[in-house]
Amino acid sequence: MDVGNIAIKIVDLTKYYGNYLAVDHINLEVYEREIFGFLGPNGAGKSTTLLMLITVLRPSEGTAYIYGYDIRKDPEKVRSLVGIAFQDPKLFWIHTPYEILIWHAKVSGYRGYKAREVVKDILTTFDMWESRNKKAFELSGGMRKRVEVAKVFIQKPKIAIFDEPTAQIDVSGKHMIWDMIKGLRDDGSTVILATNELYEADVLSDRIGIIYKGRIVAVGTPKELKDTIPGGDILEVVYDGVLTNGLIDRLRGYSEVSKVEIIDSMIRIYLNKVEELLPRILEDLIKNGVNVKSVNMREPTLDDVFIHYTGSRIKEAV
Amino acid sequence: MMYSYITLDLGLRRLSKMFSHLILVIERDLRLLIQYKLFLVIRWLWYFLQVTIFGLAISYLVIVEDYLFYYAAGIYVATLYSTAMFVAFDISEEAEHGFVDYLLSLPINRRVLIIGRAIGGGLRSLIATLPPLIFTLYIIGVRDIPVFIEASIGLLLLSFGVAGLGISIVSFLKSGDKTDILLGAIDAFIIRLSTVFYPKAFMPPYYSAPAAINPLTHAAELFRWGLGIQTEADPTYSLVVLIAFMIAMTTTGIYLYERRMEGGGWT
Repeated sequence: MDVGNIAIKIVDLTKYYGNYLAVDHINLEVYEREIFGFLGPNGAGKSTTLLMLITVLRPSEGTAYIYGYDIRKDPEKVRSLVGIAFQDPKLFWIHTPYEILIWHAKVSGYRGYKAREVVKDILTTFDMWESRNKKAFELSGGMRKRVEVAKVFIQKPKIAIFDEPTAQIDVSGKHMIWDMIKGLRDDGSTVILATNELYEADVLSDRIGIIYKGRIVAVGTPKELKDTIPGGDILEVVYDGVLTNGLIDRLRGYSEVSKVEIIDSMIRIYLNKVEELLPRILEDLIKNGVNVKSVNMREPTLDDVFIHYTGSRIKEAV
Repeated sequence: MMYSYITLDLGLRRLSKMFSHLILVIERDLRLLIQYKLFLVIRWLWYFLQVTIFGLAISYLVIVEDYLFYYAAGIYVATLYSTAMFVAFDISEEAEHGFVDYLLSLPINRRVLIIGRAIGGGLRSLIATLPPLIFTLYIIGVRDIPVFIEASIGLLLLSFGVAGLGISIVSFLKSGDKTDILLGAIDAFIIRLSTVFYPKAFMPPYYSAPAAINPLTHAAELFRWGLGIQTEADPTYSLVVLIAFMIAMTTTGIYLYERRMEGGGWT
């Protein structure tokens, strides 16, 4: 991917809660105008890291720089650049969505009519205009989450942080929020998306950092991460004809191929970069008189990537 | 020259932003007041009954001249104190709902945030106690308006100072339960070891010594002076004590909030 300027530079960021090490010397760079997915199970240290970035928590060791401003030395400057949608909606129980968002809009610099207009727009987009005067404690979990996420879309900060933004939200709502997050990135914001939903991380993130037990274990684009699994792609070819030993040896000879299996009239190849190697494999088969009847390709999922780096599935790793 | 203009412009813009944030924080605290309608009505009713039944009955039993007036002015100051302290319960409840994390994440200077809460907490306690104040003025009367205005400044200083004290306590303890217990204990001592209910002349020395430095004593005496009720205290000295109390409590509140407040960790 094209690397932009560094928006966030995290240096040895560490957080202890008493003796418990929640975040363990994280080092990371997030580039301007990218959606960076923070993928990890609950308790991995995602939220703690984000709370340190927004200066709500103090680091025990290390620091981070937001557009060059040190979170320890210039917390006010940092907060003027960053906006966050918390994992648990932070709504005072007696306030209404309208009151909450109007106040947030004013803090974000909107005045008078403009504040009312921007809040009406976002509440209408989130299908919450009718519920704008309900107290926070009367709202469903999904509605509370929408109000929380709406704050960031009103603020439009240079660095937008979303901590599990679509948890408790229905499928159509998820897609709408994903599109809006992409829109925020396209309008110039850098987005950090903390999630434990593999699909969300995969479809939304330009790059992903896998966080496990307080440490970053891998960073890359979804494709780069998938390609790091040896033989992670699977190519299945159903054929007619005879596979000679020479042909099988040739297939095994590609450096990207880690294993070749013959199952009845199907050849299964475990490899990397299937999209690059596929034309050459098909050419080899056809040249050797093999009649290719069907081809099926499967890339590894982020769950496979997570298992590769941590030894367990994301849903099981807590 | 150009550099100075740019610096001045940036400084003014920063100042203007801070002021605008201060107003927003104060406005938010004042709006919170509207949410406590029932609480306020009960407070007013309690005050009315306390003065018209308890105060009146007790005034026949004691030898202090015009004790009903003395009592009405004193208990108004006590009511103002407990209403101003309510900001501590607000912060504590906000922390339990995780709302403090949100406030701490905002692009608002933390000092502005806490000064705004002290001012907002103080102002709203004055607004919330307006009906008792009007009732007190009605039964006692105001003889000298400039003197009364000076005394009212004392009430304002007490409100801001108590709000600062509340913020200091809640920031230091970081616990809803501990805050409830400590505020209850402080309330018991600070009101009883003051001249809210009885003059210092009637107290034993080990009571009158703490009463002499108690901000409630000075607010109550200043208020009585403003209403033309006989008082033992020097109004100028009381005003100075209340200014010192307000500054000390707000500074302590800022110090503790900046150093102790961070997300999570509330019990």
